[in-house]
Amino acid sequence: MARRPSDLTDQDVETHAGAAPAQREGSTRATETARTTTPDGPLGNGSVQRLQQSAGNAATSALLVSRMTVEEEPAGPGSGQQTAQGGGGGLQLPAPATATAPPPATATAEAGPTNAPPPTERMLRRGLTGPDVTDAQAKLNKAGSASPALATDGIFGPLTDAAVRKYQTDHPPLVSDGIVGPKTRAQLNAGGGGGGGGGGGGGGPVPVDPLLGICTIAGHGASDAAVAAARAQAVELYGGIAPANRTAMLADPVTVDVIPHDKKLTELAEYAHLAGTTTFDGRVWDTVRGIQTVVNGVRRVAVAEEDLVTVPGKAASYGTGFLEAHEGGHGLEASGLTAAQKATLTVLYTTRLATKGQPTATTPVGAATAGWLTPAWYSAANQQEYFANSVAAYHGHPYTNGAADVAIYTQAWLQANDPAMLALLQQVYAAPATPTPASPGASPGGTP
Amino acid sequence: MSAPAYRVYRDDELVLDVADEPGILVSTSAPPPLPGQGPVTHAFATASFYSATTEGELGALLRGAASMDAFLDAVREAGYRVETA
Repeated sequence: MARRPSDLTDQDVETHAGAAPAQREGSTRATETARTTTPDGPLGNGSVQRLQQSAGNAATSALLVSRMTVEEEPAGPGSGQQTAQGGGGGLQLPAPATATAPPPATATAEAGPTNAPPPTERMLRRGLTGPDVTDAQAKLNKAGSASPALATDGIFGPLTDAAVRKYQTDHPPLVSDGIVGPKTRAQLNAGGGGGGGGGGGGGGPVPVDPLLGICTIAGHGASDAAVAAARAQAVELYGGIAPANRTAMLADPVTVDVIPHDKKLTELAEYAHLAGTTTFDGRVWDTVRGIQTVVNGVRRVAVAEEDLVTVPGKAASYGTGFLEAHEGGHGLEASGLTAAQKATLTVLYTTRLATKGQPTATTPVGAATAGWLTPAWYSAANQQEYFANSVAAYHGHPYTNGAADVAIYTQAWLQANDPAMLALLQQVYAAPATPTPASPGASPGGTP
Repeated sequence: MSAPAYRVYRDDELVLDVADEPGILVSTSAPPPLPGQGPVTHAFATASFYSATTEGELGALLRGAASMDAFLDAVREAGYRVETA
């Protein structure tokens, strides 16, 4: 989508930043990595939860650094250019016709040199953590952009995101994109207060644990960083859902199990009954690294530790955050959607099949696959996968970390290609609807 | 006209959706096949499994069946309930 320079947002500045495409790619991957780990996980109201959150944040910061280092390598884990190991099944057919080799760069026109922020002043956006986030939260509170005041916990999640957007809306010509870049930061640093009122810079009230009663994280001996990452993604998946969806989940809560990198799935007590059995295509469950199922009446999502944090010698299987986003998306559909929303989902899926067709593994990449998130054949396989991949896109967690997948696993892609699904997800997340573009430029099938 | 489709239950739990047409089989295991790998397809069935406990058995029955009718017969013999979708 072409935009005038005068319309540049902080997001644009981020995209423009850096001199060389390769550097920008690394930066993007790092941002995506960071986005995985910690949305606003408001602190729990108990001391144990405070401790867990605090320890998790510290560990998460460490993991962010390590993942940036690894993922800036050209063919790092989950780059989409490698053939991941494991999982060979008895019925496997040749490789799918989906895109596995991302284009070298998405838009060279956006690569022009601009005023890149100094390294010490990174772009702040949802999912990041750190003292600079704490600083921004304090300033947002001072500006009265959050009510109640944000917890100055250094976690940039949905509440902080909303406060940033409000601040930007209140301070034109800033563009309300939820990103604290050079322009927004400068305004904040200048003490640009909004409607006044302040919010009490002393940290504000401690919010109730957003997962209380709807989701439990079970670490099973995985690292604190992995547990923190799993929790952060769970907060992202479930913490901001609408009251009706929360009510549904209270009746059917989800447990997220972290599979430690050095343990088999079936070494976890909850999955021990699967030991020695296989998936439908003959893979032994012992070696499977992710699942969404029901065990003894409890809905469970199991996610491999190596897909949550960097584990030396153990490559992640998918793009950053994808595994929990996808499997957790299944959990959200199964337990969190209202009956009306499930009915809507069915209509969306059947309508999409009718209008976009159902690509298969051999469908050439092109118009026939463009209406589906990658891999197209998988998103089109059934409404569950369609929804789960859409949830991953909503939260910005790509199937692989390749540029092509990173580009489409976004809300912008949903807006342009599947606005009805975006509307459903915005309803689930009680998010404000995305404004319809004034011009009819965004045609279905277009690339954001 | 869409292909005949069936829902398979173990007790009251839905464990399989299957349609009588060639297509993709989807597991309860970790999401899409890993990047670079292809889907599992079947000569006469399109199916989504929903239970880790039963999908191995159902998959074996599917591999051993020569037709959808034969598969559904085997499924019933194994104690599952089959409903037309």
